[in-house]
Amino acid sequence: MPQDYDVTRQVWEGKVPVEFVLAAHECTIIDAPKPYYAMLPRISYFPLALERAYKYFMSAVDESEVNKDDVWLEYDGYPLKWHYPVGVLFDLHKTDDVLPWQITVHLKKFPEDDIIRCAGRDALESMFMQSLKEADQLKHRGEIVNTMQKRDHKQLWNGLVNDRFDQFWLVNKKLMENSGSNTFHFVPMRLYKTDKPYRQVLVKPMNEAAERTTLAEACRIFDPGFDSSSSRVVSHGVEVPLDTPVIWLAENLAYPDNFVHISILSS
Amino acid sequence: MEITQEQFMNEIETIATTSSNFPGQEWTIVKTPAGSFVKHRSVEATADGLVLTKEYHICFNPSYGVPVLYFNIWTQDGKLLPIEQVWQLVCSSHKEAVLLDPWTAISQQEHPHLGAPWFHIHPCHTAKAMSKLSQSTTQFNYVLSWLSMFGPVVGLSIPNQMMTSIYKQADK
Repeated sequence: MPQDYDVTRQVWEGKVPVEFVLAAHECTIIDAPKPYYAMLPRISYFPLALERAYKYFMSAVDESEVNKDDVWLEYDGYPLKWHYPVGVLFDLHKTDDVLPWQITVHLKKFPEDDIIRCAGRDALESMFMQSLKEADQLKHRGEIVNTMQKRDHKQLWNGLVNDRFDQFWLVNKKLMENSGSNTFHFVPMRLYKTDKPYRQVLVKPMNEAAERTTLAEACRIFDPGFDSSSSRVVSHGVEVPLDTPVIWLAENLAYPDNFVHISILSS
Repeated sequence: MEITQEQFMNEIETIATTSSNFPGQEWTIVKTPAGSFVKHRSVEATADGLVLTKEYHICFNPSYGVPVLYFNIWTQDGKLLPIEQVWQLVCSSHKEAVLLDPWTAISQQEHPHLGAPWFHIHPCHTAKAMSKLSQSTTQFNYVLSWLSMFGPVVGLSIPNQMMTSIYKQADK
Protein backbone atom coordinates (compact mmCIF):
# COMPACT_ATOMS: atom_id res chain seq x y z
CA MET A 1 0.00 0.00 0.00
CA PRO A 2 1.75 3.22 -1.07
CA GLN A 3 1.77 6.21 1.28
CA ASP A 4 -0.95 8.83 1.11
CA TYR A 5 1.24 11.89 0.52
CA ASP A 6 -1.31 14.32 1.95
CA VAL A 7 -1.48 12.38 5.18
CA THR A 8 2.26 11.89 5.63
CA ARG A 9 2.86 15.54 4.79
CA GLN A 10 0.26 16.73 7.33
CA VAL A 11 1.67 14.38 9.96
CA TRP A 12 5.12 15.87 9.34
CA GLU A 13 3.92 19.45 9.56
CA GLY A 14 1.70 19.17 12.62
CA LYS A 15 2.78 21.65 15.31
CA VAL A 16 1.76 22.66 18.81
CA PRO A 17 2.23 26.13 20.34
CA VAL A 18 4.24 25.97 23.55
CA GLU A 19 4.84 28.60 26.22
CA PHE A 20 7.87 27.75 28.34
CA VAL A 21 7.87 29.46 31.74
CA LEU A 22 10.64 29.30 34.29
CA ALA A 23 9.66 27.79 37.64
CA ALA A 24 8.85 30.82 39.77
CA HIS A 25 11.01 29.91 42.75
CA GLU A 26 14.06 29.36 40.54
CA CYS A 27 14.49 32.92 39.30
CA THR A 28 17.23 34.79 41.03
CA ILE A 29 16.54 38.22 39.53
CA ILE A 30 13.76 40.51 40.65
CA ASP A 31 11.80 40.58 37.39
CA ALA A 32 10.83 37.10 36.28
CA PRO A 33 11.73 36.58 32.62
CA LYS A 34 8.93 36.62 30.07
CA PRO A 35 7.89 33.20 28.82
CA TYR A 36 9.68 31.70 25.82
CA TYR A 37 7.33 30.84 22.98
CA ALA A 38 7.87 28.23 20.29
CA MET A 39 5.84 26.30 17.72
CA LEU A 40 7.08 22.76 18.14
CA PRO A 41 6.66 20.02 15.54
CA ARG A 42 4.60 17.18 16.98
CA ILE A 43 7.04 14.69 15.45
CA SER A 44 10.03 16.27 17.19
CA TYR A 45 11.45 15.98 20.69
CA PHE A 46 11.73 18.54 23.48
CA PRO A 47 15.53 18.47 23.82
CA LEU A 48 15.81 19.90 20.31
CA ALA A 49 13.68 22.92 21.26
CA LEU A 50 15.08 23.17 24.75
CA GLU A 51 18.54 24.26 23.67
CA ARG A 52 17.24 27.73 22.79
CA ALA A 53 14.81 27.97 25.68
CA TYR A 54 17.59 27.04 28.10
CA LYS A 55 19.92 29.76 26.80
CA TYR A 56 17.06 32.25 27.12
CA PHE A 57 16.37 31.38 30.75
CA MET A 58 20.03 31.24 31.75
CA SER A 59 20.03 35.03 31.75
CA ALA A 60 17.52 34.99 34.62
CA VAL A 61 19.40 32.77 37.03
CA ASP A 62 22.71 32.62 38.77
CA GLU A 63 24.63 30.40 36.34
CA SER A 64 26.98 29.10 38.97
CA GLU A 65 24.08 27.48 40.76
CA VAL A 66 22.69 25.62 37.76
CA ASN A 67 23.74 22.37 36.12
CA LYS A 68 22.49 21.71 32.58
CA ASP A 69 21.96 18.04 33.46
CA ASP A 70 19.38 19.11 36.03
CA VAL A 71 16.99 20.73 33.53
CA TRP A 72 13.56 19.17 33.37
CA LEU A 73 10.08 20.03 32.11
CA GLU A 74 6.80 19.74 33.90
CA TYR A 75 3.12 20.05 32.95
CA ASP A 76 0.26 19.75 35.39
CA GLY A 77 2.52 18.15 37.98
CA TYR A 78 3.88 15.57 35.53
CA PRO A 79 7.60 15.52 34.79
CA LEU A 80 7.66 15.23 30.99
CA LYS A 81 9.47 12.26 29.47
CA TRP A 82 11.66 14.01 26.95
CA HIS A 83 12.33 10.84 24.99
CA TYR A 84 8.67 10.71 23.89
CA PRO A 85 7.78 12.78 20.81
CA VAL A 86 6.23 16.17 21.57
CA GLY A 87 2.93 15.15 19.97
CA VAL A 88 2.63 12.05 22.14
CA LEU A 89 3.14 14.09 25.33
CA PHE A 90 0.60 16.67 24.14
CA ASP A 91 -2.06 14.07 23.32
CA LEU A 92 -1.41 12.17 26.54
CA HIS A 93 -1.26 14.97 29.11
CA LYS A 94 -3.23 17.88 27.75
CA THR A 95 -6.82 17.41 28.76
CA ASP A 96 -8.09 20.93 28.09
CA ASP A 97 -8.28 23.12 24.98
CA VAL A 98 -6.20 25.97 26.35
CA LEU A 99 -3.42 27.09 24.02
CA PRO A 100 -0.52 27.73 24.06
CA TRP A 101 0.56 24.69 26.05
CA GLN A 102 2.19 26.10 29.16
CA ILE A 103 5.18 24.08 30.28
CA THR A 104 7.30 24.85 33.31
CA VAL A 105 11.07 24.70 32.97
CA HIS A 106 12.84 23.55 36.12
CA LEU A 107 16.56 23.97 36.66
CA LYS A 108 16.87 22.19 39.99
CA LYS A 109 15.71 19.13 41.94
CA PHE A 110 15.73 16.77 39.00
CA PRO A 111 13.19 13.96 39.69
CA GLU A 112 15.62 11.14 38.99
CA ASP A 113 13.19 8.44 40.12
CA ASP A 114 10.71 9.49 37.45
CA ILE A 115 12.57 10.55 34.33
CA ILE A 116 15.75 9.84 32.44
CA ARG A 117 18.35 12.60 32.36
CA CYS A 118 18.70 14.20 28.99
CA ALA A 119 22.36 14.44 28.15
CA GLY A 120 21.89 16.35 24.93
CA ARG A 121 21.59 15.70 21.23
CA ASP A 122 23.82 12.64 21.11
CA ALA A 123 21.69 10.85 23.69
CA LEU A 124 18.53 11.82 21.82
CA GLU A 125 19.93 10.68 18.48
CA SER A 126 20.94 7.38 20.03
CA MET A 127 17.46 6.81 21.48
CA PHE A 128 15.83 7.75 18.21
CA MET A 129 18.03 5.32 16.27
CA GLN A 130 17.37 2.57 18.81
CA SER A 131 13.61 3.00 18.32
CA LEU A 132 13.99 3.11 14.58
CA LYS A 133 16.03 -0.10 14.60
CA GLU A 134 13.54 -1.81 16.86
CA ALA A 135 10.70 -0.78 14.52
CA ASP A 136 12.54 -2.34 11.60
CA GLN A 137 13.30 -5.40 13.70
CA LEU A 138 9.55 -5.81 14.05
CA LYS A 139 8.76 -5.07 10.41
CA HIS A 140 11.64 -6.74 8.59
CA ARG A 141 13.69 -8.54 11.28
CA GLY A 142 16.05 -5.57 11.01
CA GLU A 143 17.15 -6.57 7.53
CA ILE A 144 16.52 -3.20 5.95
CA VAL A 145 17.90 -0.89 8.64
CA ASN A 146 20.97 -3.06 9.21
CA THR A 147 21.95 -3.12 5.55
CA MET A 148 21.67 0.66 5.25
CA GLN A 149 24.81 2.76 5.19
CA LYS A 150 25.60 4.88 8.20
CA ARG A 151 25.00 7.97 6.06
CA ASP A 152 21.40 6.80 5.48
CA HIS A 153 20.88 6.61 9.25
CA LYS A 154 22.33 10.11 9.52
CA GLN A 155 20.05 11.33 6.76
CA LEU A 156 16.99 10.16 8.70
CA TRP A 157 18.15 11.91 11.85
CA ASN A 158 19.21 15.10 10.07
CA GLY A 159 15.98 15.14 8.06
CA LEU A 160 14.05 15.12 11.33
CA VAL A 161 16.24 17.69 13.08
CA ASN A 162 16.34 20.09 10.12
CA ASP A 163 12.71 19.65 9.11
CA ARG A 164 13.52 18.20 5.68
CA PHE A 165 10.56 16.01 4.71
CA ASP A 166 11.91 14.97 1.31
CA GLN A 167 15.38 14.18 2.63
CA PHE A 168 13.85 12.07 5.39
CA TRP A 169 11.43 10.15 3.22
CA LEU A 170 14.05 9.39 0.55
CA VAL A 171 15.50 6.95 3.08
CA ASN A 172 12.37 6.24 5.09
CA LYS A 173 10.47 4.81 2.13
CA LYS A 174 12.88 1.86 2.19
CA LEU A 175 11.81 1.16 5.78
CA MET A 176 8.22 1.32 4.62
CA GLU A 177 8.61 -1.43 2.01
CA ASN A 178 5.76 -3.84 2.56
CA SER A 179 5.49 -6.28 -0.32
CA GLY A 180 6.96 -9.57 -1.44
CA SER A 181 9.81 -10.70 0.81
CA ASN A 182 9.67 -7.40 2.70
CA THR A 183 6.11 -7.72 3.99
CA PHE A 184 5.80 -6.52 7.58
CA HIS A 185 6.05 -9.33 10.13
CA PHE A 186 4.69 -7.15 12.93
CA VAL A 187 3.41 -3.60 13.13
CA PRO A 188 5.50 -1.38 15.45
CA MET A 189 3.05 0.13 17.92
CA ARG A 190 3.30 1.74 21.34
CA LEU A 191 0.28 2.42 23.48
CA TYR A 192 0.16 5.15 26.10
CA LYS A 193 -2.12 5.77 29.05
CA THR A 194 -1.56 8.40 31.73
CA ASP A 195 0.16 7.21 34.90
CA LYS A 196 1.37 4.00 33.29
CA PRO A 197 4.53 2.99 31.44
CA TYR A 198 3.87 2.67 27.71
CA ARG A 199 2.99 -0.80 26.44
CA GLN A 200 4.45 -2.48 23.42
CA VAL A 201 3.20 -5.88 22.26
CA LEU A 202 3.52 -7.91 19.08
CA VAL A 203 0.76 -6.94 16.62
CA LYS A 204 0.45 -8.78 13.32
CA PRO A 205 -0.79 -6.94 10.22
CA MET A 206 -3.32 -9.71 9.55
CA ASN A 207 -5.50 -11.34 12.16
CA GLU A 208 -6.40 -15.00 12.47
CA ALA A 209 -9.28 -14.62 10.06
CA ALA A 210 -6.76 -13.42 7.44
CA GLU A 211 -8.24 -9.92 7.51
CA ARG A 212 -6.31 -6.72 8.18
CA THR A 213 -5.97 -6.20 11.94
CA THR A 214 -7.90 -3.12 13.02
CA LEU A 215 -6.93 -0.54 15.61
CA ALA A 216 -9.70 -1.85 17.88
CA GLU A 217 -8.25 -5.35 17.72
CA ALA A 218 -4.76 -4.02 18.46
CA CYS A 219 -6.09 -2.10 21.48
CA ARG A 220 -7.61 -5.33 22.77
CA ILE A 221 -4.29 -7.14 22.37
CA PHE A 222 -2.67 -4.43 24.52
CA ASP A 223 -5.52 -4.39 27.00
CA PRO A 224 -8.11 -7.16 26.96
CA GLY A 225 -10.37 -4.91 29.02
CA PHE A 226 -10.33 -2.19 26.34
CA ASP A 227 -13.77 -0.59 26.13
CA SER A 228 -14.27 1.44 22.96
CA SER A 229 -17.39 3.17 24.32
CA SER A 230 -15.49 4.85 27.16
CA SER A 231 -12.19 5.49 25.36
CA ARG A 232 -10.82 7.91 22.81
CA VAL A 233 -7.91 6.62 20.80
CA VAL A 234 -5.69 9.50 19.67
CA SER A 235 -2.60 9.98 17.54
CA HIS A 236 -1.23 13.23 16.11
CA GLY A 237 -4.07 15.07 17.80
CA VAL A 238 -6.68 13.17 15.84
CA GLU A 239 -9.16 10.63 17.17
CA VAL A 240 -8.38 7.64 14.99
CA PRO A 241 -11.32 5.52 13.77
CA LEU A 242 -11.16 2.13 15.46
CA ASP A 243 -11.73 0.21 12.24
CA THR A 244 -8.54 1.63 10.67
CA PRO A 245 -6.22 -1.19 9.59
CA VAL A 246 -3.01 -1.01 11.65
CA ILE A 247 -1.04 -1.57 8.48
CA TRP A 248 -2.36 1.75 7.15
CA LEU A 249 -1.35 3.39 10.44
CA ALA A 250 2.17 1.96 10.15
CA GLU A 251 2.53 3.29 6.61
CA ASN A 252 0.95 6.71 7.06
CA LEU A 253 0.58 7.71 10.69
CA ALA A 254 3.86 6.50 12.15
CA TYR A 255 6.24 8.97 13.77
CA PRO A 256 9.72 9.37 12.26
CA ASP A 257 10.99 6.56 14.50
CA ASN A 258 8.63 4.31 12.48
CA PHE A 259 6.47 3.50 15.50
CA VAL A 260 2.74 4.17 15.64
CA HIS A 261 2.27 5.97 18.96
CA ILE A 262 -1.30 5.78 20.24
CA SER A 263 -2.75 7.39 23.35
CA ILE A 264 -5.82 5.83 24.93
CA LEU A 265 -7.77 8.45 26.83
CA SER A 266 -11.04 8.18 28.67
CA SER A 267 -13.88 9.99 26.94
CA MET B 1 19.71 -16.97 18.32
CA GLU B 2 16.41 -15.99 19.95
CA ILE B 3 14.03 -17.54 22.44
CA THR B 4 10.29 -17.37 23.10
CA GLN B 5 8.68 -15.62 26.03
CA GLU B 6 7.61 -19.02 27.35
CA GLN B 7 11.15 -20.34 27.37
CA PHE B 8 12.29 -17.13 29.07
CA MET B 9 9.64 -17.56 31.78
CA ASN B 10 10.56 -21.19 32.45
CA GLU B 11 14.24 -20.39 32.67
CA ILE B 12 13.95 -17.43 35.02
CA GLU B 13 11.73 -19.52 37.26
CA THR B 14 14.50 -22.12 37.42
CA ILE B 15 17.05 -19.44 38.20
CA ALA B 16 14.86 -17.96 40.94
CA THR B 17 14.09 -21.31 42.57
CA THR B 18 17.69 -22.56 42.46
CA SER B 19 19.17 -19.28 43.69
CA SER B 20 17.12 -19.50 46.89
CA ASN B 21 19.65 -22.11 48.02
CA PHE B 22 22.50 -19.62 47.74
CA PRO B 23 22.35 -16.89 50.40
CA GLY B 24 23.17 -13.47 49.02
CA GLN B 25 22.65 -14.65 45.43
CA GLU B 26 18.87 -14.78 45.40
CA TRP B 27 16.88 -13.80 42.35
CA THR B 28 13.16 -13.16 42.79
CA ILE B 29 10.37 -13.12 40.22
CA VAL B 30 8.30 -9.96 39.87
CA LYS B 31 4.92 -10.19 38.11
CA THR B 32 3.49 -7.11 36.38
CA PRO B 33 0.65 -6.49 33.86
CA ALA B 34 3.33 -6.27 31.16
CA GLY B 35 4.78 -9.69 32.03
CA SER B 36 7.28 -11.06 34.53
CA PHE B 37 10.92 -10.35 35.16
CA VAL B 38 13.48 -11.51 37.70
CA LYS B 39 15.57 -9.30 40.02
CA HIS B 40 18.63 -9.43 42.24
CA ARG B 41 19.93 -6.85 44.71
CA SER B 42 23.34 -6.50 46.30
CA VAL B 43 25.27 -4.01 48.38
CA GLU B 44 28.98 -3.68 47.97
CA ALA B 45 31.90 -1.49 48.89
CA THR B 46 34.19 -0.30 46.12
CA ALA B 47 37.95 0.03 46.35
CA ASP B 48 37.47 3.79 46.92
CA GLY B 49 35.36 3.13 49.99
CA LEU B 50 32.00 3.94 48.36
CA VAL B 51 29.04 1.81 49.40
CA LEU B 52 26.90 1.06 46.38
CA THR B 53 23.51 -0.62 46.22
CA LYS B 54 23.01 -2.42 42.93
CA GLU B 55 19.85 -3.92 41.59
CA TYR B 56 19.66 -6.01 38.40
CA HIS B 57 16.55 -6.97 36.46
CA ILE B 58 16.35 -9.49 33.65
CA CYS B 59 13.42 -8.64 31.37
CA PHE B 60 12.30 -10.17 28.10
CA ASN B 61 12.33 -8.11 24.90
CA PRO B 62 9.72 -9.59 22.53
CA SER B 63 10.91 -7.51 19.55
CA TYR B 64 14.35 -9.17 19.57
CA GLY B 65 13.40 -12.39 21.37
CA VAL B 66 16.20 -11.96 23.88
CA PRO B 67 16.66 -11.20 27.58
CA VAL B 68 17.71 -7.62 28.42
CA LEU B 69 19.62 -6.56 31.51
CA TYR B 70 18.40 -3.49 33.35
CA PHE B 71 20.28 -2.22 36.36
CA ASN B 72 20.48 0.71 38.74
CA ILE B 73 23.24 1.71 41.11
CA TRP B 74 22.64 4.00 44.06
CA THR B 75 25.15 5.64 46.38
CA GLN B 76 24.75 5.62 50.14
CA ASP B 77 22.62 8.78 50.12
CA GLY B 78 20.07 7.14 47.82
CA LYS B 79 21.12 9.01 44.67
CA LEU B 80 21.46 7.31 41.31
CA LEU B 81 24.99 6.99 39.98
CA PRO B 82 25.47 9.35 37.01
CA ILE B 83 25.88 7.55 33.69
CA GLU B 84 29.47 8.74 33.24
CA GLN B 85 30.39 6.92 36.45
CA VAL B 86 28.48 3.84 35.33
CA TRP B 87 30.57 3.75 32.14
CA GLN B 88 33.69 3.98 34.28
CA LEU B 89 32.53 1.12 36.49
CA VAL B 90 32.07 -1.16 33.49
CA CYS B 91 34.47 -4.07 33.74
CA SER B 92 37.88 -3.25 32.34
CA SER B 93 37.80 -5.84 29.57
CA HIS B 94 34.75 -4.18 28.04
CA LYS B 95 35.56 -0.62 28.96
CA GLU B 96 37.24 0.24 25.69
CA ALA B 97 34.35 -0.97 23.57
CA VAL B 98 31.78 0.76 25.73
CA LEU B 99 33.63 4.06 25.91
CA LEU B 100 34.20 4.06 22.16
CA ASP B 101 30.47 4.29 21.55
CA PRO B 102 28.86 4.54 24.96
CA TRP B 103 25.41 5.58 23.84
CA THR B 104 24.81 2.43 21.82
CA ALA B 105 25.97 0.12 24.57
CA ILE B 106 24.85 1.22 28.03
CA SER B 107 22.30 3.98 28.44
CA GLN B 108 19.42 5.03 30.62
CA GLN B 109 16.05 3.81 29.37
CA GLU B 110 12.49 3.61 30.54
CA HIS B 111 12.04 0.28 32.33
CA PRO B 112 9.49 -1.71 30.27
CA HIS B 113 7.54 -2.87 33.33
CA LEU B 114 8.13 -0.10 35.86
CA GLY B 115 8.32 2.99 33.60
CA ALA B 116 11.09 4.45 35.76
CA PRO B 117 14.65 5.26 34.58
CA TRP B 118 16.99 2.25 34.57
CA PHE B 119 20.33 1.67 32.91
CA HIS B 120 20.40 -1.07 30.32
CA ILE B 121 22.62 -2.87 27.88
CA HIS B 122 21.07 -2.47 24.46
CA PRO B 123 19.59 -5.74 23.17
CA CYS B 124 20.23 -5.37 19.46
CA HIS B 125 23.65 -7.00 19.68
CA THR B 126 22.53 -9.79 22.01
CA ALA B 127 21.11 -12.23 19.45
CA LYS B 128 24.23 -11.93 17.32
CA ALA B 129 26.55 -12.42 20.31
CA MET B 130 24.51 -15.38 21.57
CA SER B 131 24.60 -17.10 18.20
CA LYS B 132 28.36 -17.29 18.58
CA LEU B 133 27.94 -19.52 21.62
CA SER B 134 27.60 -23.18 20.80
CA GLN B 135 24.33 -24.95 21.25
CA SER B 136 25.87 -27.11 23.96
CA THR B 137 26.36 -24.01 26.10
CA THR B 138 22.88 -22.53 25.68
CA GLN B 139 20.71 -25.61 25.54
CA PHE B 140 20.32 -25.99 29.30
CA ASN B 141 19.46 -22.43 30.20
CA TYR B 142 19.78 -19.74 27.57
CA VAL B 143 19.13 -16.96 30.07
CA LEU B 144 21.93 -18.18 32.32
CA SER B 145 24.39 -18.48 29.41
CA TRP B 146 23.42 -14.99 28.36
CA LEU B 147 23.83 -13.70 31.93
CA SER B 148 27.29 -15.22 32.24
CA MET B 149 28.25 -13.27 29.10
CA PHE B 150 26.64 -9.91 29.77
CA GLY B 151 26.46 -9.80 33.56
CA PRO B 152 30.19 -9.40 34.20
CA VAL B 153 30.25 -6.33 31.93
CA VAL B 154 28.29 -4.53 34.65
CA GLY B 155 29.75 -6.22 37.69
CA LEU B 156 27.32 -9.10 37.99
CA SER B 157 28.71 -12.58 38.27
CA ILE B 158 27.11 -15.88 39.18
CA PRO B 159 29.06 -18.24 41.43
CA ASN B 160 30.08 -21.42 39.61
CA GLN B 161 28.30 -23.66 42.09
CA MET B 162 25.03 -21.87 41.47
CA MET B 163 25.50 -22.06 37.70
CA THR B 164 26.11 -25.79 37.83
CA SER B 165 23.08 -26.21 40.05
CA ILE B 166 20.86 -24.28 37.61
CA TYR B 167 22.15 -26.18 34.58
CA LYS B 168 21.42 -29.46 36.39
CA GLN B 169 17.74 -28.45 36.71
CA ALA B 170 17.39 -28.51 32.94
CA ASP B 171 18.20 -32.19 32.92
CA LYS B 172 15.13 -33.02 34.97
